[in-house]
Amino acid sequence: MKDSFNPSIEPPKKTVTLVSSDGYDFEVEEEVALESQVIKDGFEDKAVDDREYLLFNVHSDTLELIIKYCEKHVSSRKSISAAAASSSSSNGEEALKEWDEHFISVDTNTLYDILMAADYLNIKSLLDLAIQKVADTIHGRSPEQIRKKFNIENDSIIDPWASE
Amino acid sequence: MGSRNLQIPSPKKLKIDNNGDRISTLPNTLLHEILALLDMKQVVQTSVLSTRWRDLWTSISTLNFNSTVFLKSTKKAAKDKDRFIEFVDQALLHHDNSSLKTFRLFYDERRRLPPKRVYSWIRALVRRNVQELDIHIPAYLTYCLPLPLCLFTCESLRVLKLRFESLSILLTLPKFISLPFLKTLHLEWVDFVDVKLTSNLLSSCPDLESLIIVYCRFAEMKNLVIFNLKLKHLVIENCSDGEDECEKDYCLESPVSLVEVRPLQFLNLRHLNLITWLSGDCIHAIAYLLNSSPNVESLNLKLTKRDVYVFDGDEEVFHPTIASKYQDTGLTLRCMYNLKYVEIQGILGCPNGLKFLEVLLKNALVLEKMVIFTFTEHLPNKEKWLMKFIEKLQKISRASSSTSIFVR
Repeated sequence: MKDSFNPSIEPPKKTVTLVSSDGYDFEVEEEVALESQVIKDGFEDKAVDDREYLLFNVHSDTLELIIKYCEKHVSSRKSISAAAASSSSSNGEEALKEWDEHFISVDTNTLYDILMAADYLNIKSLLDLAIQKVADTIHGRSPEQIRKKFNIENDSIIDPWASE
Repeated sequence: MGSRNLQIPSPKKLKIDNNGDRISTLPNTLLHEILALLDMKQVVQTSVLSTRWRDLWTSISTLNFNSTVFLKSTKKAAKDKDRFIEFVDQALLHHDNSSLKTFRLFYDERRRLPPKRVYSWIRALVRRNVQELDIHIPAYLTYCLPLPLCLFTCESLRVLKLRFESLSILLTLPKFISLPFLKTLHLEWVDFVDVKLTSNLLSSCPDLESLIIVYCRFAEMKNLVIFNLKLKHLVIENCSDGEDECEKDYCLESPVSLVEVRPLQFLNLRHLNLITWLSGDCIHAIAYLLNSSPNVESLNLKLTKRDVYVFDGDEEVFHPTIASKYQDTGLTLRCMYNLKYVEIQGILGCPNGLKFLEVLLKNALVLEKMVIFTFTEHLPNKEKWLMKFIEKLQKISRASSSTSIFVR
């Protein structure tokens, strides 16, 4: 491994490479990548020097967002547990919730991409966040408004009971 | 942020067509999860969106019925109740039975839902192997009708929440109960009548982790045995023994003298929240619960009765009317090896309170933090009282050297 030839004092953090569907490399810290249950599950079976994951279903634009989310959650978890250990009060969870809220406030197309990627990579908290966002978008809208919001073409004959 | 390097030179990024209807291409499982978060009124309405959506809702696993959502846009009318009942009936009729897991019903209207109908929904759901049943409805006299017995042998059930309101429902229990997978039992406005059968109910739920009993009455019951080794979460709130109904904010005293905790109970209990006050009986009850929960890490006490001892300058003014209930009768507490955090709200510094703090501080070996919210608004000499209280507090010896106490 490269590391053994590198005489730096602090050992560099272990990284893995994620390759998007359109062929871009993303080098991320191991623990960030392990936020994905799919990567985690396959992690131990992989050879030690094989640190590359081809993500055929995730476009680089989306992958960038996904990595941003995972990095934020890994670092927040650390600071929350550090605050708990020193029993100092922290509003870390509250702040993270706000960050999530802001993160998921995207247009419906991006939301769809995040949803599909979170499902494909099996990142439970992100999937829940995206699903809740879609539900919130539907909530309180009439069928016509929902169609407009999501570009749904009405090809159906109206069911008289359901429309009541 | 991960660095972005181009691996394969690609002249153009392959973009998916962003202009079409993408939500409809989501797999059914994801669309079901989305619909499960919405109220049934809206869920059923999605069936008119397009042919893709027409039957989608019929296989969702969670049904949320809420009368306030259903009747929101309409003016109050006599037929509201019937329309709501019709809606639930129809939804259950059209829904694919095999996928149903969760049924939530919240009914908040003045017009009463007939228990017969609610109970037949329960029967229908039990037959469909419902896993989570959450029913929150106002009760009235005809609810004296016993709950469907099949509910107590529903082996698929994981979560059972029965919340009535304004009128207690008599809990008629069968002799044979089998709820092998029940993890959460939440009962509100329920009258427990039979000691044996109530204990039998609890012992028939070997997996029970969370037991919440609110606004319930324990008429004629001398004790209640909770013998659930997996219990992690216990709430007994605003309950009474039925004799003393004027005490609306009454809580722990009687039920806890009811709770018979067998040795090695509540091994999993980590957080204990109690709403109570500091009469002699109450501090014994609190100590009793603490002694039975050796692994408890945080204790949160909210005191609701404050008018027993009041400091008036240097004098303690004593209210004799309720004095008999506040006899200090000695208190013992086991060493607490895990208790790290204590929060007490509404303490006034009466002898019982100080005694309790003393015993607690002496036995909490690893206590890190104690936060005390005093109740001093109505006192004439707030500052003086507080100084005196803190002075008394400082005199108490502590088992843990790292305890910090905050008085607010």
